[in-house]
Amino acid sequence: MTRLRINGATKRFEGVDGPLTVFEGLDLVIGDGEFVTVMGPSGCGKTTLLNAVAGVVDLDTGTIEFGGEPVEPGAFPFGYVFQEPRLLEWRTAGQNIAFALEAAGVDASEHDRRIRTWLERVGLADERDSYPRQLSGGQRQRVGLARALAVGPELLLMDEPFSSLDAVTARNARRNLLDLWADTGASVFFVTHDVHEAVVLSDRIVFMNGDGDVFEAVTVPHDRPREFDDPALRETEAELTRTFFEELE
Amino acid sequence: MTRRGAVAGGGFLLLWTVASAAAPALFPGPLAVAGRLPDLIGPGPGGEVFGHLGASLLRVVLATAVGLATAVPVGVVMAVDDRIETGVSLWLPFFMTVPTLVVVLVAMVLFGFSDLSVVVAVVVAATPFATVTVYEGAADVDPALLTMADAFGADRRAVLREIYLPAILPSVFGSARYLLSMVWKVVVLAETFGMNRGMGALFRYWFNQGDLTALLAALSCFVAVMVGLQTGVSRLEHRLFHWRA
Amino acid sequence: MSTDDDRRFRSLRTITAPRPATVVSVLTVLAGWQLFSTFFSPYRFPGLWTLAGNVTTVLSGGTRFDPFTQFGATVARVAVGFGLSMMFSTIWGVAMGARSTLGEYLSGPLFVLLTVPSVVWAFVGVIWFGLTEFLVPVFVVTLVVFPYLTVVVWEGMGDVDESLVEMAEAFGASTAATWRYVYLPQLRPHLFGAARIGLAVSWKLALVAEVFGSATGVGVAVKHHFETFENGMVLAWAVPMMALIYGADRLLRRVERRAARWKSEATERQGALE
Repeated sequence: MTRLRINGATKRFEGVDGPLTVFEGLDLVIGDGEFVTVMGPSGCGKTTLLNAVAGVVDLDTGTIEFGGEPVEPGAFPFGYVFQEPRLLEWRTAGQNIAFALEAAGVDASEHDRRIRTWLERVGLADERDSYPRQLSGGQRQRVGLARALAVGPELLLMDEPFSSLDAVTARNARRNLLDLWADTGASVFFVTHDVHEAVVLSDRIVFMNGDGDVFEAVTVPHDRPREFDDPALRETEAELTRTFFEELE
Repeated sequence: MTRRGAVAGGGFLLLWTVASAAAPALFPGPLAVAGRLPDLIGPGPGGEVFGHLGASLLRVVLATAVGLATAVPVGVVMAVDDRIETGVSLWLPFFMTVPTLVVVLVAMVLFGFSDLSVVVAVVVAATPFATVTVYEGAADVDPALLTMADAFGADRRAVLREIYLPAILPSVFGSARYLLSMVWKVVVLAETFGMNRGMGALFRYWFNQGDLTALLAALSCFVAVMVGLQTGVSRLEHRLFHWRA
Repeated sequence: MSTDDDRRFRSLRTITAPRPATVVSVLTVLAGWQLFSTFFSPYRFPGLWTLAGNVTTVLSGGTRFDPFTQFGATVARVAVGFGLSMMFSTIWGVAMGARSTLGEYLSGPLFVLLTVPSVVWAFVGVIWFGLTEFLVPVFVVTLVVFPYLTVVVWEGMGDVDESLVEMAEAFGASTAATWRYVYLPQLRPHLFGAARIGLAVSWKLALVAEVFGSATGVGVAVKHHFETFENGMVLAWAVPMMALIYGADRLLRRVERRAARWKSEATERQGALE
């Protein structure tokens, strides 16, 4: 069954020299519980696509279906993890999650339990009363993840969430994400420009070029759980890197 | 900019006309005010507006120069030496609360109704704020550059000339612009008390006559010069420091 | 690392003893004042002891002006004028920031309004309303302070982080929640800054307005003593008000620091962690 279906999405911006097409007639399907990554170079419109699904940016044309039903963008249970954590610095980790819960209309009596649960599951049980400035970059990004998961999403939107973390922290964060994904059964719409990340995380990878066109879609042929350093994964990674850069050149 | 200015200006004139039609005694209309301009320009006790403007302008330039000459060295020294910064900063909140009026009146009593009083009043009332502006610019100097200069063994003089000077020039200009806008107000206030020439004196004359229309006409002349002057200074600043943006 | 250490060390020092620079600075200024006063008669420029004596005279009602009436009147005018200005400026500043066209059209007129000297507003006020208890001082304070603070608040709106607004939108936060939790906390330092400037300026303007447009208030006492060339008394009337405004400023700063707890605690704990 499909979770999310994007049909013929087109987005144009008013540029300095006339309208600028970000993507045109784009189709994308994400299955129930599937982890799909959109790979593409910087500025190819990946973030715009996520924002369009979230209803932050309006599409010029195109429709969105959720669980088989046509819906307005953003009008379905989803969580969003941004590239930079986008936490409210004047609120504690717990209060940041409460902000999203309140916005999602979750009953106030539920807040405490959900905050405790999700902070614990991202390994930040003790940081509930810490302000974002007291946390490290990796911890902040985990609060962002807990916030997105706490609202009970059926779809998780993730915009290069680990790109600003150091290699070790990012690796641990990916491991944590896979565990949480397996537990929740939510679908994930992930965006990155890192081939390694895409291969170790995804069920399926969709490649976009600089013009916003999808030129390739592959299923990652590896069983889970995956060893991040498995030579077979490395080989797939090398192969896809070649495909990716050949198209870009 | 011009279209927006035209719309805003037109809207303002329209509001003014409507208000004056509703209550002519309270709001003399734009035409009535313009009609008094000849009185202001011509000779006579309430006239010679250009002479008054010139007298004020002279005081403003003089006071701004003295204020800047005080603010720049103090501001730079504050940025270079932590102890001086502590000692000077201590008095800034105090200066925030010193009323300009009291400064003006005290200066008048001490030095008589003279240009000296005006300049002293301005320096006391406005310089602290200009000093802060210069200090903030100088304190903004990249510490990494200072470390670099230190590593290359540059002496204090070279550090001042090569690192502090370029960093503070824009803020000196900003502080001059700020001083200018403040100095005008102090000068006009001072002129209102016991000076014979200057825009403050002209305002006082028409106030004593109870002539609102002429008062507004004098105000229009003043505002026109102020806006022109400030626009000119910001343009100059923009031209000089456009590389920073 | 070194800056954190420095900051901690410095805060430690302020707790234990005043820094030598502070002591030197206070002594220098006081000595300078005293020295300056020796060039003039105590009427024209009072020494520190004379000034202290004068302040006592003013506060104990030893002049022809009753201190409670005058200070009370001025404080009430400052409070009303400042309150009105803060209210209008917040509304207008936020509106201009939220609707950019409004900001573009109104910034010009505000800029022009700012060039009008306060004395002229006082003159216009007196011609319109005559000598009044509240109207003219409040009119002058509001007309000068309001455009200034509006600009401060408007500029503050420019500092609002749009990506956080986008975040709130993505999570489906209501307009009320977005304002309360996203906009307001970011505006708060600007509002406090505006309030602190506004308070100090309001008091200075109330004084000017009182000189021309009122029969009570500190301004009237100041004007009387100016006309008899008694600088000592002019200053003595200003000093208690300055102390009051300074106290209010300190209070605002304390509230501000409390509101920005999330900032200071962060630096402290980071220092402890690293």
